[in-house]
Amino acid sequence: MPTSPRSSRRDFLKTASAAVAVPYIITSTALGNQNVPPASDRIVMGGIGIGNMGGGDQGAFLGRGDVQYVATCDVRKNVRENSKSRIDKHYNNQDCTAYNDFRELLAREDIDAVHVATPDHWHAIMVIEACRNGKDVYCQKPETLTLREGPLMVDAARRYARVVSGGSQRVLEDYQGVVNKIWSGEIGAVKSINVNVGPLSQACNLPAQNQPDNIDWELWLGPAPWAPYNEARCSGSFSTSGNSWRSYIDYSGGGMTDWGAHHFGGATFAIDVRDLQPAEIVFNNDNGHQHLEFRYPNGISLTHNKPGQGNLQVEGDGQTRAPKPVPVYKGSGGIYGDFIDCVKTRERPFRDIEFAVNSVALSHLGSISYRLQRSLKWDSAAQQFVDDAEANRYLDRARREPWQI
Amino acid sequence: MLEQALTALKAYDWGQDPKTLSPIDEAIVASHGDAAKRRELEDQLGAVLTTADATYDGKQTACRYLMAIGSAACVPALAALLPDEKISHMGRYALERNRAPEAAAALRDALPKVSGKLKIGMISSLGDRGDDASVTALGELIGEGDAAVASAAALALGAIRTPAAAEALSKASPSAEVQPAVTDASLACAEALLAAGKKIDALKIYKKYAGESQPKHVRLAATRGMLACAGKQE
Amino acid sequence: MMAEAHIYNASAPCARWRFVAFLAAIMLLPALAQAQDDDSLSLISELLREPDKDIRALALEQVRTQAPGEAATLKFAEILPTLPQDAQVGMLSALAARGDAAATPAVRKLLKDSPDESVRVAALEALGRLGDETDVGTLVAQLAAGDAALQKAARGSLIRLTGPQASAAIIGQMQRAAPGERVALIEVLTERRTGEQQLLAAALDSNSDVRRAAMNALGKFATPEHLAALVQGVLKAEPGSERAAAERAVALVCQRIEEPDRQAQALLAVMDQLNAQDRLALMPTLGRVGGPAALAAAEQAYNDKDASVHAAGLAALCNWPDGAVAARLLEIARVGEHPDHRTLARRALLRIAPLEDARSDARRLDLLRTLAVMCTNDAERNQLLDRAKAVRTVETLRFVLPYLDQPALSEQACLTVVELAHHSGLREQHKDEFHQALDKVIATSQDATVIDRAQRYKVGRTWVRPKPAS
Repeated sequence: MPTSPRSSRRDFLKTASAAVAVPYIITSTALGNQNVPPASDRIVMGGIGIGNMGGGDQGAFLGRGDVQYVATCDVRKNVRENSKSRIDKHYNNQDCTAYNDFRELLAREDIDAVHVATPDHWHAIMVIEACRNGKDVYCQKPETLTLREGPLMVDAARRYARVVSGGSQRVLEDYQGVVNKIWSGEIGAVKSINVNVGPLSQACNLPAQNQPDNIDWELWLGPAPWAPYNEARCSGSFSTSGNSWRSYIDYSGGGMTDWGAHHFGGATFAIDVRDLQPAEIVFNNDNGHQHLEFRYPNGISLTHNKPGQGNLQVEGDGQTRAPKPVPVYKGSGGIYGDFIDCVKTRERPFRDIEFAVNSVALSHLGSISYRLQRSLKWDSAAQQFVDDAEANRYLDRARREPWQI
Repeated sequence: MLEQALTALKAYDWGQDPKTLSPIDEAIVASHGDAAKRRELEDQLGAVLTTADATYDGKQTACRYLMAIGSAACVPALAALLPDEKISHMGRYALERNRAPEAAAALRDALPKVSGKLKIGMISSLGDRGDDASVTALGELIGEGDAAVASAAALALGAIRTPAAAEALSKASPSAEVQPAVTDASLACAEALLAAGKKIDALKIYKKYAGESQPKHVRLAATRGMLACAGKQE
Repeated sequence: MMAEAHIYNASAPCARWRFVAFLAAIMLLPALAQAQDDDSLSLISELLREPDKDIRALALEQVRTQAPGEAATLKFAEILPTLPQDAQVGMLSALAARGDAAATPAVRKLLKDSPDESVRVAALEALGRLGDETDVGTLVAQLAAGDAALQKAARGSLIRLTGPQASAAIIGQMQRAAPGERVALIEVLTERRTGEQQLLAAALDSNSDVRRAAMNALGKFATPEHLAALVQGVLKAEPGSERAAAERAVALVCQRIEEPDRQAQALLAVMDQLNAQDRLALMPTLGRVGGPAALAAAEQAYNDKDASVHAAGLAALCNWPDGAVAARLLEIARVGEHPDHRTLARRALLRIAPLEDARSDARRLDLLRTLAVMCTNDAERNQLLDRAKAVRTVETLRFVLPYLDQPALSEQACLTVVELAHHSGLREQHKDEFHQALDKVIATSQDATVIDRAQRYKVGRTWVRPKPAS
């Protein structure tokens, strides 16, 4: 009988107590029943960042019979304690370990996969570190904060043959009308598609507030420039126009990346350029209305905030074409099921990190064009703006010590 | 307007409206392609850093602007921030993205003068810049007693990914704690070597990490690399 | 040199990683460092036999993307039947992704020979990428098989199958098949967007499921040139849901005419060729198309003294796709001679009132306000409150709120409030008003989902709408 990789990891599990500080023991409650596979056949998971989105992700993975959720991590004490309680209650045991520092969770050899749903300034560090530790990763969108992070995340995933999925379920699920219209061949060859999304992220200069005891503020800030604690600065509200980390440039690309990950992701899926990045970003200013045109090497245009155009409004050449089958999730259970199925089969998920990185790249390229108020040329192979040293400064940001990718 | 904003920048503090600084943002955009105006602006922003009573927030924000427009001229003012634990990061924030050779030199010069986290910061920025000239120094740091510093140095060599960086990694004798960073960096170098057609050099690295003593994901990486080598013409 | 690799015994788990160490050692030999295609293929073949999925995945990645050319494909195809079953599944998928038809004979053989369902599913899927018209019969036979996974895979491959004669072969099968299978094949042709002439014939079939599927297909891709034949499908359809679906299909085809004014004209031109009875039967279809030419015809019919013509005119107006007929319907709803006609007009208005068109939000809401007074029972009032959610303004919230106090209407009103609150832009812009409304919803509603949604929106969280069961 061939030995499966899972069982060899389980062997480790059984004898791990001498090798790790805390013995992780699968209790009798994890032995499974008729409907649930035994623990030895389940994907062992942990979660990092258990806020609005992370809590939802956790619930989705926790609800799966083929997942054994054993670890949770958040820099907010009450959040991680509540998360541990939820998990322990689900399994009717006390087995879940709660961590403040994600590095301790990633060091656990018994964990197969993690989901990451921290603010965006942490994504690249955590995803890369997870891959270096041999974990598969489901990372919430927007997957990157800067352009340079994307290829490094893809490199890490490919290097260690990891399954790394981005997190926008909307890419496949929300735009089926336009996707079907295009992939069915109905409108012919696509000439252009428009995305309406915003705003850009803004500077944050909120005043200092008394720092509560229940948050590790240094670890919340991590690689971002130092700033004093303020409740609104670290609020997980979905606002992108202030009073939430999603609004501020040190932690997020604003609505441009937060919703942009969905809309640009949906648009690039619809026009089937998920594996490409544009070659040119044309900045337009029509009497104060600023909008962009991303020009792909294959001749397709993706416009942003084009006047008179709806979101994901598409234009084809009208010459009906042969249909192409629309990709679907693998497994069952939406984007989460797709990820878990790929963890088992080692195939690439629908929202493979490379596709996710390419669509968020549009948000970043567009933001840089708006900030510089001019058109840009982009060499996607070199991941550099062409002959534009000033624009190239915005490819990345120095991370606050000791954080590094 | 710009002058008022620059004055406000010196006293800028948490809680103040960022819009008071908008004229500086606008001046940066408007001065694109105008070297003289850019230089004037750079000097004015650099002056904030050397103003004794300028606020921390003001200096930090000046560094953000200098990230966008700084040249060799502002390097001394930024270099002075590097040993200061409180604002070292923002000095790097501006220097790391500045392509002037003087910026890299400032980071290299600071490297032996700082320790702990600040040293990791310098290492990280030199790696992110792909700074060939720091390869030897980074290689030596892998033997450093501080495992965090040693790991950072290894990862920085993995970011530089030149044959020299690969060589420096191959010569290192890391502690067990530092080994994962050396492994990752070496594999990154192997990918770059293979992409450059240096198949035998890449294979040497992959062979080193294919052994049974390696963690499974590392052996997978090595196997994947060897397969890629086998399928690639020299 | 690589021939030695076979000494590795794949069935011995403890030897698994020894192979890699062995590989590492031999890779450094000068000759292998110059390794070219054959050596690379041997390596991949060996790794495909690994019991460890992670290692196999590396090899499959190579099959998908490396070692180009037919010779390599044939070598992979050769080892396909010798692999363990779960490796065969991965290999079939990788060969399909590779896209080289040279692997097709091996795929067909495995589909025939394998006793394992997952292998046969993977083989059927691979045929969709690699096969041609000669595989249509095999795939169609699986459509009728009892196994859902095999059916799904066969259907997907019939949709995907390329080759110049693939569509013709599927059309031929469709024409010969029994009704149940014909519907499945019409659905395939719908996705392939081909077979108009045969589908037009199927639209007149004696079997209503076949007719319905054919009209649905034609609605998706037929062109205005097919209108004359399409209207026969409408006339053939049984009154009720089949007729309505056929009418919608015709309206969709008319909408493909770029100039809006010409959309109804095209249908009217076809109707002019029909006898009087059929012309009348097509009036509701004409109403679905809308536009000035249709309006003139509908008005003329409505004003006719003949009761059946008059009723057909009203049916056309009631089917209108936008608010252009709102004033006319309002008039009929208020002062129409026949009580049934007043009811029909009022109910049509409930549908039309919030439709997004050239009217402003205020005008659309005004019409709902007017209708609220005219509703004759709570079912209509509840429908009105449901429709109100489409007018996403704070004024709609203010309009709906008082209904929370009416027990027979409060649950629907609560639902409309949370539907409005779902739109964060609107909610954030009128935060205080929405918070108060959501508090009232929480206190009023008996529906746990509605209460949960209200609580989420209050704290800025979103709610993911469950997908309807397929």
